[in-house]
Amino acid sequence: MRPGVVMLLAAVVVAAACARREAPPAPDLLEAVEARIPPVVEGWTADPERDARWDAETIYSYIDGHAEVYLAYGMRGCVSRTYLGPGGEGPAVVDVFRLASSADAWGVFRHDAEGQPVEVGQAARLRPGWLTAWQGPCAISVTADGEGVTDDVLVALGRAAAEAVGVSGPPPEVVASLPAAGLEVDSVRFVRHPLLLNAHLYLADEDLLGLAGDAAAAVARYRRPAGEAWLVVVEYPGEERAATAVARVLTDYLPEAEGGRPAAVEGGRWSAVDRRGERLALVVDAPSSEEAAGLLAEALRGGAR
Amino acid sequence: MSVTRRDFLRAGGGAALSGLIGVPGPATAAGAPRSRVVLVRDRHVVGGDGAVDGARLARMLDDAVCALLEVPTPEEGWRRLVRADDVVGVKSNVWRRLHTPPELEAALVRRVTGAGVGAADVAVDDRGVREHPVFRRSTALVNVRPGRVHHWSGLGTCLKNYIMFVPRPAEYHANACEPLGAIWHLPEVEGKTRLNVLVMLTPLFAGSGPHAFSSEYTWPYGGLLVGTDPVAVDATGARIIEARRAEHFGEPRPISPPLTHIRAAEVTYGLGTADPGRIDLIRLGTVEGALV
Repeated sequence: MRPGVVMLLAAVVVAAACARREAPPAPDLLEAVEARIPPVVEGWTADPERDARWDAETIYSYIDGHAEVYLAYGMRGCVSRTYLGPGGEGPAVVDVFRLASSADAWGVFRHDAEGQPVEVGQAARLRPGWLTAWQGPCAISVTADGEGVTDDVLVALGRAAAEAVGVSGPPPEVVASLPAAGLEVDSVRFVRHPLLLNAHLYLADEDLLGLAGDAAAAVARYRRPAGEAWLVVVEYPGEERAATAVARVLTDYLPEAEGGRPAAVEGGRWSAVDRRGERLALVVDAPSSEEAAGLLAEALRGGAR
Repeated sequence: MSVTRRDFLRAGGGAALSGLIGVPGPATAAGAPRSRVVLVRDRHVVGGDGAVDGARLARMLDDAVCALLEVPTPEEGWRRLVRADDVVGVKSNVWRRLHTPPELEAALVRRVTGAGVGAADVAVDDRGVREHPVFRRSTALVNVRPGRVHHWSGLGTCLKNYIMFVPRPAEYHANACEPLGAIWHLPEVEGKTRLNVLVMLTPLFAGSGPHAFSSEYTWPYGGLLVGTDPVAVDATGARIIEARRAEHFGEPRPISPPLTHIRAAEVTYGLGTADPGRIDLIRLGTVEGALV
């Protein structure tokens, strides 16, 4: 097993094992975050005139259509604090988004997985001028909105925000259940919305898998000796939804497939879909029928209870 | 069932998934009209300090209009685009991090008034267009905005620039803003657009997150894409940005989310063509680094 896969699985297991109970909805977690984010972080001072709080209705006025990504993960609110450097550098903007759950916050965090990992919160990535982090049910963003915001400042502000959240949470269960062999760790995503699935693996304009916002889907790329393939695993709230989704895929995407067996698709590739209880697995563009069938079986076993 | 991944793979292999535009369909069948798009570039239009050379930019605009309309002078070109009795709204874009250069707005206003439109009958606006008196009585629109990636629609485009004409923009967000083309058929807009300008001076080619901007993900392309077909202009811009993404990251990085709104504008709303095989791309100025 590749070291990266071991690390991801270990991280998921440890995070799940160490997660405290998620913060209760009341008192308001964001209210607590607002109170706990320090006014000064390593010489950078918050400008109270720019403190802001947004809810699911007002978030559009803050980040326009970008709000839809956060809303797709059940965003409940956002607090924003702007910091200026000791010599007037910046500003740097800290945004803490409260999502529906820790799993959803993980999904937001992984929506853009560019950059280098850094030690902030439960997980974090750093790119030029932007840091993202995951902490419990919150996704944290620290953005350089002016000159002079160094990586160290982004990290310090991110850590301050993560500490202000103060609670940890588990990553999505469906992610932990992915087959390990050949998994490209950096490709793993968690989605509840068909558009977000399409952002990572385009399937169709329609909601082919019937995600409807309440299913939990993991999408990942695999690289095995025979070649690459994509895998989508969806956990539905009931078997009927899973069965409906399988039927739709067979009708609208894989009409050539029969009885859970792989079907030849364009480019000499193979795809397959099937379910086990409430769990659906879809293999996309595998290099062979055998590879598609094998990955499908492993993915369905992953949800065994 | 609408378009799927397999339709694009049939159309042209894996590369066709890039941007998910240009799938052959009824709107792009043989016999469909062709569109002209001018790509004009000047490597010196943006200085090292980020300052825009207004004179160069104005010349780029003039050269583009002349080439687009095949006329000898920009004055003649603009007299073809607007009438003296028109009321012209210049729909711009004020997004703080990458907005339409004021020098370009000024150049557009000069050419519009130079074509005989009264000074009181032309205005530039973005978020206030629904209430702006000139836009409310407009008979013509000029559509101008910078090209950039967008967290939800995939790209900020000329097609998307008209979202401020509706009272509730969020209602057009479904499926990566697929319904944006419908706005172009609203009475406030339909039939009025005389010119589309996608500003590609320093396009944003990557970046996500709530504020979606990093100067690391812009580059000094120094271009304008100009045309009367917004779909063709946007599709060409998408190809440039996607090529830049591949160049920067060293591997294909299709624009994400998929550009369903460009494809729908072509196929569903009949606003133009995204098929490069049906776009006559006229290149002016700097050649190096054109990416298309």
